[in-house]
Amino acid sequence: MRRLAALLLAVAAVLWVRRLGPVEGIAAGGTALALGFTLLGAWIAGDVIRRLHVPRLTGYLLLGILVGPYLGNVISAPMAAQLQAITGVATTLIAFIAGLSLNVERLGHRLAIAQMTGATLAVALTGLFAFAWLAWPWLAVAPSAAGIERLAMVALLVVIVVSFSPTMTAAVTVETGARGRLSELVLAMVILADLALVVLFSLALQLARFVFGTGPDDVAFLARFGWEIGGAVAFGALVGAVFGLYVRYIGRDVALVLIVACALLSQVGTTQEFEPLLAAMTAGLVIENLAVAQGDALRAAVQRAAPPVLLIFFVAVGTSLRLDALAVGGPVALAVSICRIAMIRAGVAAGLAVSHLERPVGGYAWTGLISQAGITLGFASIVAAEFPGWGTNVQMLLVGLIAVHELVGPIVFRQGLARAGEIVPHARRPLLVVSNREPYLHIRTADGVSAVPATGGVAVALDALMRERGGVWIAHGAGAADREVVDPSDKVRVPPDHPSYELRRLWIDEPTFAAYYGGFANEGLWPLCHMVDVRPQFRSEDWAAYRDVNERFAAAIDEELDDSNAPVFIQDYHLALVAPALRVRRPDARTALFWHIPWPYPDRLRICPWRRELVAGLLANDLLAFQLERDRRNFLLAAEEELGAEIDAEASRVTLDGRRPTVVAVPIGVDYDRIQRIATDPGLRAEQERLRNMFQLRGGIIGLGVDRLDYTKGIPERLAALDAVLTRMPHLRGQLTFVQIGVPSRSELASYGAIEAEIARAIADLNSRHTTEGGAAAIVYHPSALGIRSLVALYRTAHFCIVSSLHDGMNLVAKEFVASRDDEDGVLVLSALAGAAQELHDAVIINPYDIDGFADALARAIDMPREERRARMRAMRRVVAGRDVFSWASDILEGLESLWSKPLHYLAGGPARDGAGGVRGPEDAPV
Amino acid sequence: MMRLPQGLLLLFIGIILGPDGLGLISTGVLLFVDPAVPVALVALGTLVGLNAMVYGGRERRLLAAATTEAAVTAALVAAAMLSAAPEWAAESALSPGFVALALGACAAPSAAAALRRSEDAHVIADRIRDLDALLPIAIGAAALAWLRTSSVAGAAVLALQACGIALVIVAAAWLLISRASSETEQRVFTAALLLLLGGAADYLSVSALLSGLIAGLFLERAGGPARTAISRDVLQWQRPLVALLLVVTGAHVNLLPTWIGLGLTFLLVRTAAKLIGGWTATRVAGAAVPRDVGARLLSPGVLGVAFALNTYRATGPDGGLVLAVAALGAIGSELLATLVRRSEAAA
Repeated sequence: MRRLAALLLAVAAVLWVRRLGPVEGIAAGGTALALGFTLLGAWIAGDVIRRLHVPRLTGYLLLGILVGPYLGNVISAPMAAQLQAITGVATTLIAFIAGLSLNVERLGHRLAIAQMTGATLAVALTGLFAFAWLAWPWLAVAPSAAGIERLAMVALLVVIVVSFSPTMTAAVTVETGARGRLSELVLAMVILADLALVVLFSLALQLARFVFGTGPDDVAFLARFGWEIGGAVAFGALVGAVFGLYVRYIGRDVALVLIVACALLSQVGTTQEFEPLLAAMTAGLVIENLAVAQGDALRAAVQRAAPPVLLIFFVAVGTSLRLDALAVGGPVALAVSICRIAMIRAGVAAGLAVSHLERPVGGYAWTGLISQAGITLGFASIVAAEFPGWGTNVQMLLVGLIAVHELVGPIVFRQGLARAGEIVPHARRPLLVVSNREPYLHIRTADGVSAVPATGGVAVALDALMRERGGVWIAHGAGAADREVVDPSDKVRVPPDHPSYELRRLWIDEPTFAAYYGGFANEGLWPLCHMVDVRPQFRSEDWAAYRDVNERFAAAIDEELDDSNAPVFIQDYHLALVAPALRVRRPDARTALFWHIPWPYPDRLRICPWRRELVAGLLANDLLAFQLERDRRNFLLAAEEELGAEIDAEASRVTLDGRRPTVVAVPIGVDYDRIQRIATDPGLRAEQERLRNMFQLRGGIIGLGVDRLDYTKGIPERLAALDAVLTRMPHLRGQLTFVQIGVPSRSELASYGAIEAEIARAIADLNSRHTTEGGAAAIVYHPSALGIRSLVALYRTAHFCIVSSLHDGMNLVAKEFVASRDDEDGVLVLSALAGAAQELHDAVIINPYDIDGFADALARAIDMPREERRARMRAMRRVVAGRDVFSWASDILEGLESLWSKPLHYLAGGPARDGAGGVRGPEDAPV
Repeated sequence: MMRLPQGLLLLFIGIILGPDGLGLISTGVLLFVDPAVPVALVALGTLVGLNAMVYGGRERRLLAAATTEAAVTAALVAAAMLSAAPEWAAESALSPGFVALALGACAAPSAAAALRRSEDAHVIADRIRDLDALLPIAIGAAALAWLRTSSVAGAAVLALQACGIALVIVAAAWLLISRASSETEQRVFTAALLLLLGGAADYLSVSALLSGLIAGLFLERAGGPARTAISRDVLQWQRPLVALLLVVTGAHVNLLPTWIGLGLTFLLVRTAAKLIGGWTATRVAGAAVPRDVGARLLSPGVLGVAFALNTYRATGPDGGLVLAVAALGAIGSELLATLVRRSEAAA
């Protein structure tokens, strides 16, 4: 409804502008206006049409027809003509992306695939040529053409009619989660075939130019053809190499440079008379195969730049189409389509006979060769521009064909993949999350058993993701009433209000759990990874328990993976050995692990007696993600030093024992939208008032700290700095109140018990010295957890918030504070040793070990002018909003899936904020 | 926002490579990048709008000071240019009154900058720089509307309609971006917003900077995720857009001898007007504004050049005089500002 209202507003604005009209005598083109309207309208139209299970691309074309000069006239004829200017850039971009999709190294059975592709093309081209020649009078291209003219036209038409859509084909496999030989075979065939077809198209175009007298004479024909192909390949290779070097050594504004490169390929190709599509495809191939390390930056750039350009291209094509002519050409397009599919099927059968590829799999390859989109339209646009008469008829026929194949292709390919056993038909793409802590604890209350959701940012994000995708979450059952609600297979459907996935509980008996969790994980790994003065303790019995529990998690995953190949997303340092144990049972499982805490530098890692097993265990995952680049680097060093693994730091790949896992840094964010919703809720004021009363906040200046009671959080250092400030600035006594929320954690461990006692002592001491008679308390201590709503209320009440970690992977409190402040006020005082400081440069950065400097920073935060507070908070909010917890999860899962289907992601769209994952359907992939 | 030391280079590149220079940036190339120019203007206006909201009494005083400073600068420059009209009026088909007003509007803005330094005088000067663009954009928009309709009433109606169109477009974008499902979607809608705003202004030959300003103010007032997303994307794109704007401006500059002379006059008058404007601002805002604020506002930034380009697009080649004088004045002013900064640093 919102989108429809927005579209109506945009239409109203454009009509209003056109009613006022341009100034006479000034050449007001309206190109930007047409582009803007096209972009906005097409995106919405694509969305609407997708809900009707029709491909987006059809929506773009339909919008073009509807608002174009021949029907709605919202986009006038001159505006439509100016839109065509983007055609050159768009078609080269499409070819460029197709080139990026072919990685020769990843191609197995190269010769067989080449033979299969060659045979398929030969049969399809020959068969369609015969059909087109015989049916020529009814094809409505140029019925009266005969002899060599007809030959040239048929040759061009047939090459275009046969062409395929690499990304459409690829995107179907992403959407279905298909994995296997058929999907790999079809993708390779489509790209190889399109590469050959670009060359054939160039040859056919030369022939047509020669025949219709728009090209060179017969002597220069071959030389010109040689130049067109050779020049294109050479220039494309040059552009690809330069672009690869740019991405590698400069790497700024890659999306913009990509568009400029495509414009260059298009312009130079046109002026120097060589085939721009082949040049662009070559450029893409060079980058993909010779500059592999730049893949991620390029992928991001293509995701940013391609959708708007391609969308406008398809609408522009739509605006140039006459509905009446399309209606006449529809039945002809249908007939050509039936013939095309039959010929492709025959070609695949011939290809199988020649190549000796496995028949059960290869037999379905034809299903993936039906889709057509951007490359076909690109060919058609070139012909229409070169031969305005019959070329336009060719374009019209092809648009009809594309509409048919866009509708039929994905459906048939999906069926083919299902029959080949590469997907479970109609199945959702489930996800398997594995963590120590469960998303819902069941506890006993006076009213019976109730479910308590986890409150942490990560748990909430993963829960949202699971609600959307479904699947199984495996975790240790720690709730007092957990056993009472599970079924015989230890599962319970959650969330309680709207069950959408299964929570599988793992029962771990107390001595084992204490050794695994309290012992190895929290007395060993936690202090090992955090640079604080607590000695890690490594005991053999803890290590044994850790291995045992990790193996039990792996066994549970194996059981849950029985009927699916869902990606497995493992959480944190408690489960470092799950992947190797799982690999023994399921070598083909797809696993990603996110390590939430820092990774130590190599010298410190040597403290751990089982470091090699840990590093090797982590490398058994397909994707391993850390919070920061520093942690990733430290891990790569450890892999090299401890295991002698081969490191390709730029490609983020580690080669060990024949496997090539990827190691990346993906900083985590908060659920920004949820916090925004709470922050803007009018009822929050009442909560703020309640908290003010509860904590007796009478002072004019409120400070805030929210932490687990952990020795890494730097709470004693924070109290010492506050002490120094109140000593130096006694006028703040009674004015300043600092609220410390401390959530007890792992209290059974000696180191945690000690820090809790130390904090309580320090607060009592500070209050006794700085609290004035009848004035506000200097420190208000609340040693228990608060819900997110209360926290947001406190964040918005505070004048400043302190995060003083001595070492921290990220620290989400810093980001939650920023996300809560949509009033753009408040100062964040942030430890340079927290991961968040790598992103939030506009915080007041402190060193928690330098108490005087820390106190200076607090004084500065208290006195900071409103303008500076606003500017800093605004800058930090941009960072936090731009990288929320859903984009974090999507990045990791997409990264995991792209290891199998890398080329498929070029046009799969950005990560979804609603936790739905960023992968869209095949209809989003118009190449 | 980009300051002119980098911008100077881009302006020079445009002048040297443009159609009147080496011709590498040909008329065809300029035509190709043409749709991006109004987008760049709108992006600048949006950034001004996003920074223009004032909070509290102190900021209101700063707004008053900035507006006074801009008004004094614009009035003095316009008056000086008008008084010199007999020297140049024959070189332009536009009315001398319009040209003087346009140059006044080009002279008034100062380089807007992010607030990073905490030193109070700098912060205040930076804030005034944020705010002193508001009045020139309004004056410029009024001048362009007046040029199109040739009557005050007609200009008022046209300006109101232009604001209405901008509001309708930004409301549509706000509705969409508030509920966008991905960053890609947000970016597409933001691009559409800028194109629609710029395209509408361009089609009507009215001020694209005003359209952007209206959008920025609307977003700042409405807030929410749409504001954050648009602000993020515009900031991300501003560098290439501003670079494009400066190169295109340079490419369009035609250095006729009379115009060079007028450019020097513009530079001298603008410098004097800024100092007087700064002094007046301290009278208005009292102790809230440092006494040397005028000297800190000499750096012209890209807004003056942007407005000159806006005028050029709205008037066609007749606006060449405004463009050349504003570009030369911007180059000179930036060199002066650099000297002032260096002497301040040395002191």
